[in-house]
Amino acid sequence: MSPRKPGYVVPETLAEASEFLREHAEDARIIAGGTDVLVQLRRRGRAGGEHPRWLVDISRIPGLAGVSTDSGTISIGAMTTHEEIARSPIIRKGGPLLAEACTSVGSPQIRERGTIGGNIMNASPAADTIPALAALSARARIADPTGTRDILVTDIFEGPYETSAQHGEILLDVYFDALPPSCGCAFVKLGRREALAIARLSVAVVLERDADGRVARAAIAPGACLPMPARVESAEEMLVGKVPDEAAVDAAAREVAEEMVRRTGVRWSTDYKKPVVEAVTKRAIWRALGVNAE
Amino acid sequence: MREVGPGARTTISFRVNGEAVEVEVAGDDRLIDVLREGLRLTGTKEGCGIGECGACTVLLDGKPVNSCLVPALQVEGREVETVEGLAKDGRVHPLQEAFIEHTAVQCGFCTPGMLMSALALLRETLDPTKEDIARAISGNLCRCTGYHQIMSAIEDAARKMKAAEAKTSKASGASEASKGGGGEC
Repeated sequence: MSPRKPGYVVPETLAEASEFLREHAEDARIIAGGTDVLVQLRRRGRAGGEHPRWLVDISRIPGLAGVSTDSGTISIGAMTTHEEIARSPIIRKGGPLLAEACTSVGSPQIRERGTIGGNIMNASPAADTIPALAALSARARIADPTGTRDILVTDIFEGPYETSAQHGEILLDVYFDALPPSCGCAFVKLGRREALAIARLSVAVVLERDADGRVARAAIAPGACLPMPARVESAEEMLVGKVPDEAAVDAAAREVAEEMVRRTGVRWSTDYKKPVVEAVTKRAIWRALGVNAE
Repeated sequence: MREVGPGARTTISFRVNGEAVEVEVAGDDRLIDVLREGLRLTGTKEGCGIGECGACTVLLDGKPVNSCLVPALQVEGREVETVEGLAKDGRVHPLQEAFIEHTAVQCGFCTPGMLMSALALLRETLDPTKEDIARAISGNLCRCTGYHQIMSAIEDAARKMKAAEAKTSKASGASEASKGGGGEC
């Protein structure tokens, strides 16, 4: 028996989309660039599973795409593609680790279609942009017809592939403070090969240093190895106030690995992941400090 | 708001290789279904169907995309280019010529997608580095693993297209010489 075919609607305004989504609740699914949704539909179809009854295409709603900057705040519309972000001069200057993360997504074809909003709301634990957004302390604006709520990106997630978004809510954009020139940052990803690899592990780091070279602010956000995307504050604290040397960097990286084990528990993969998380974190911290420690 | 009910069909209009077309599609059809089934443009191949192999690569408004991951209704009013659009006036495109010369075709299944990814690159630059080429085709798998020949072919095509462009702009009074870019490709 072939699975039920979904219908397709193309709203022209946010209100139309939102209303339709609320009305059809469990039966409707938002589609943006389609790079996750169409793959999931196909897998589900093969497995004999149920399709959503409706796909709600938000790509024709005006105002949801593009990167802009206003008095030090950078915002990125939910429909902005990875390619646009990777190439954006605003992002390359004010949040280069996000440009790096977007460059590491899939392949050129996927980057032309996949959107940052889709990457967030699909809520894959291996999403490339999420650690970068976490390290930037990015916030998101999510709207429904009654209003807009403002939420830390990392607080959107309730579990793998699960968000707090309600039926009828649509992610509008994400925004963060542009990094000052005194900030260094890095995004390091491990995949099984260069292109099209799903992250086995990634680490995003932002470090700001004062005039004496001391770390004034640190953000370390690993991806694909925590149950929920988050920063590792205990490791960040080990760097703040210090002029980072090898011992401090090693200690912070070890703490990230230990914190991962505390949050996930010991699994079959822990023997592999723990030293790798430590090594990748170390590499990301040094790169954020301007040292390429390959 | 356009609404195509489950199982229902609708007509979309867009341009394929410069020509306006109207095709009937189902709500859950993908661009590749429209091309292969609706328009019988079977040059575009379906490999994995999940955006990992790039065999179905076409250009959508000039950008390389996996046509297996583009909902048909998103193509309404837009411009699609497929491998069938490469040859002009009975002559194959310089990229196709180079693929033949360099034996960059083995089983041939990845070739249309490779050509379209290469075309997108050469429209951006006719001076691609090896790295640029590798990146441009990083979303296209060749199961015969003939990447080396494919890369040489793209490099060679770029060189020849650049030379041809220089010649044309010289002939037309060099007024466009500083324009750069891909020219007629």
